[in-house]
Order: sequence, then C-alpha cells, then structure tokens
Amino acid sequence: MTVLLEIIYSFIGSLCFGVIFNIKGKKLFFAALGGGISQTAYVCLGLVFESDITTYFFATIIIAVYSEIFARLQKAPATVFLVPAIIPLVPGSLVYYSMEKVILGDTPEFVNLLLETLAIAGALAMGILIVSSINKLLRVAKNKRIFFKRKV
Amino acid sequence: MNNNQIINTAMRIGSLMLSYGAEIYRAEDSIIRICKAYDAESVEVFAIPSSIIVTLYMNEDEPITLTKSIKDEGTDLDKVDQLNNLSRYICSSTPDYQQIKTMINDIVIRKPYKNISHIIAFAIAPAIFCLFFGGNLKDAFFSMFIGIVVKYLLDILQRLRANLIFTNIICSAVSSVMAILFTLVGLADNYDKMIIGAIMLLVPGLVLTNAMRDFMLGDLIAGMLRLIETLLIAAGIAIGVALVLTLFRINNIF
Repeated sequence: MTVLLEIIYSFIGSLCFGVIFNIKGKKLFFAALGGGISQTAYVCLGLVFESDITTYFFATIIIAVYSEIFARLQKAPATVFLVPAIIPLVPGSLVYYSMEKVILGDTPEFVNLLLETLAIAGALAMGILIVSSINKLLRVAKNKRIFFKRKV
Repeated sequence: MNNNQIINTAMRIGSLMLSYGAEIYRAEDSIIRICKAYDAESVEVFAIPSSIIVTLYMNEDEPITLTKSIKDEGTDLDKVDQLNNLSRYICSSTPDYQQIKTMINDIVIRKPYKNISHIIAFAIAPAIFCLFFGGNLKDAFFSMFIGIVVKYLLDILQRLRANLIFTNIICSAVSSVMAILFTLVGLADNYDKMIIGAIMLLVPGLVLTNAMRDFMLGDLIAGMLRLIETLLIAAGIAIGVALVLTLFRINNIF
C-alpha cells in the first residue's frame, strides 16, 4: 500500500515539476508518467539488488531509455521527459540529513551520509551518461551506415 | 536569403534554445543544420552556456562571424521543443527570411503556463514530497504555504538579478524558518520532512541532467560550467538550511 502511494506521489510530483518547467499537452502527461515509472523501477529493482546505489543506477537507466523512446515517438528533446521523471530519484532527503549531522557535530555520520549522497548523484549521472552516449553512437552509426544498410 | 540573414536566423534560434534551457549540443547542431540547409560550405560553432560564436563560410563570399551572449530566460522546455521543431521544419523546407522571423516571434510570445498554475504546482510539489519522505497530512498541508512563499521569493530574486548561491541560501533559509515555526506553533509535527519537501523545489535536477548530457556529447567546457553550477546550488541549499538550524539549536529551541 505504501509502495502504491509512493508511486502515485512520484507521478504527481513529476507532474508539478512538468508544470514548473512549462511542458505542455500530451508531453506533460508522459513526463509525469515517467516519474511514476522511475519510482516503480526503483521499488522493483530494490527487490533484486541489495546495494542502494546499484538500484539507483539501473532505475536511472530505465528512465533514460524511456525518455529516449518517447523523444522519438513525440518528436521532442529527450530532456523534456527525462528532467521531471528523474526528480523522485533525486536524494533531497539525504542532503538535509547530512546537513543535520554537521550541526549536531556528528562528523563520522556526516561523512557517511555525504558519501552516500554523492554516490547516488553519481549513479544518476552515470545512468544518464551511458544511455545518452549509446544513443549518440546509434545515431552516428545510422548516419554513417556502419551497421544499417541504406534503404532504397 | 542572403548570408547575413542565414547566420542571423541560425544564431537567433540557437541562442533562444540555450536561454530556455536546452543542451549545448542541441543548439550547436541546430545552427549547423540550418546553415547547411541554405547551402553553406562549412559552419564553425563554439557554444558555452553563456555565449555562442558562429562563423559561416559561403562559397567564394567572405566568411562572416557572429557572437552572442546568452541571457538566462528561465527554463521553458515547451519553447525548446517548439524551437527544435522549427529548426527541423527549416531544414526540410527552407522557408524565406520573413516567414522564419514571424515563426520565431510566434514561439517567443507563446505564453507559459498562467501564474496561477505555477503557484499551484509550487504548492503541491513540496506537499507531495513531504508525504513521499514520510511526513503526515498536517505537514503536507502547511508545506503548501512554504512552496508558495518560495515561488514568490524566486520571482523577486530573479527580478533583482540575485546570483545563484544567494538565491538558494535565501530560499532554503526562509523555508526552514517557516517549517520550524509551523512546528513550534503546533500546526505541524515533522519540521525535517517539511524542509526536505521544500528543498526538492530548489534541487538542480535540470542543470545536473544537462551537465551530464553535455559531458557525454563531448562539450567538456559546458559540462564543467554546469557541474559547478550544480555544486553551487547544492552548497547554497545546504548553507541556508544549516544556518537556520544552527540558530535555532544555539538558542535551545530545538
């Protein structure tokens, strides 16, 4: 039940961010759906992988692939779908809790949380990075016809 | 179209894309494609988030160079999308200068969402994330007010041309004060969850995404600039929250 609620929250949260970034029409819906999917992916992958960071990494890959696919279908830049959809994965709470540890003077715990925050941010970044570079390789391969035969 | 008109059109579209929050790659690619569509011999583009330099080589004519500095107009992904479609259209059917000019103007004056929709989005987002991170309904309800205040603060600070780190310090500090006050008065229970909800509004999701995409597409300078922007924003948020929490802790209020 909580899982379902979290997915709905992610959907609405991404919807709000879509409005803040002025995404319109059908694209707004698909961007928000991406938010729901990213949280679903996170929960499902959490059952498979033990490490939190691996989970974030693969969830980001799924959502980046989703946005590249919808970028093709809707003829829009992939960022339109990627940016709102990735918001539920952003480690906002960790930023806060690591700050709190600084104030309490609990340095070891602060370093722990800070490293975790950076690792998650890195996992998100690597996920986006890998998908967009593979996408670029595919595009170049298509243009130069390395793998694909020209259609006559 | 003559050479000046070609380079002006390409530059206008590229610079607008950057100022509405597109990746560097997209702007450079559009400029090159538009110039090539009008039979340019070759085009050289150098773009970073704050400026673009384009040189157009037309057969036998003297090369023309144009530079433009980019003003940040606020993120508007709808306009990026429209400009992207326009540049596809220009490449496929090479319309004349006047026609392109009116089409660009149509896109620039396209209305973003009405202010009230923005206010609602800014109100609901922190409430939702407050629930998402484990707050209760009372916390979520009062997070809405924090969101609305943050929206007006961002508007005012943007109009005053405040810098990035200052803007984020002020916004996160104000939202922390409000969250703590709501909790002190007894209206809400978990001030930490409310603060987390509010800082989700400030977290630099778009800039980080763009930074990574820039890196991957080979624009290392642009990627570095945006990565530093991300770090500054994150530092600003952390400083604002820390400042307020320390003040309240020193006075033994919490």
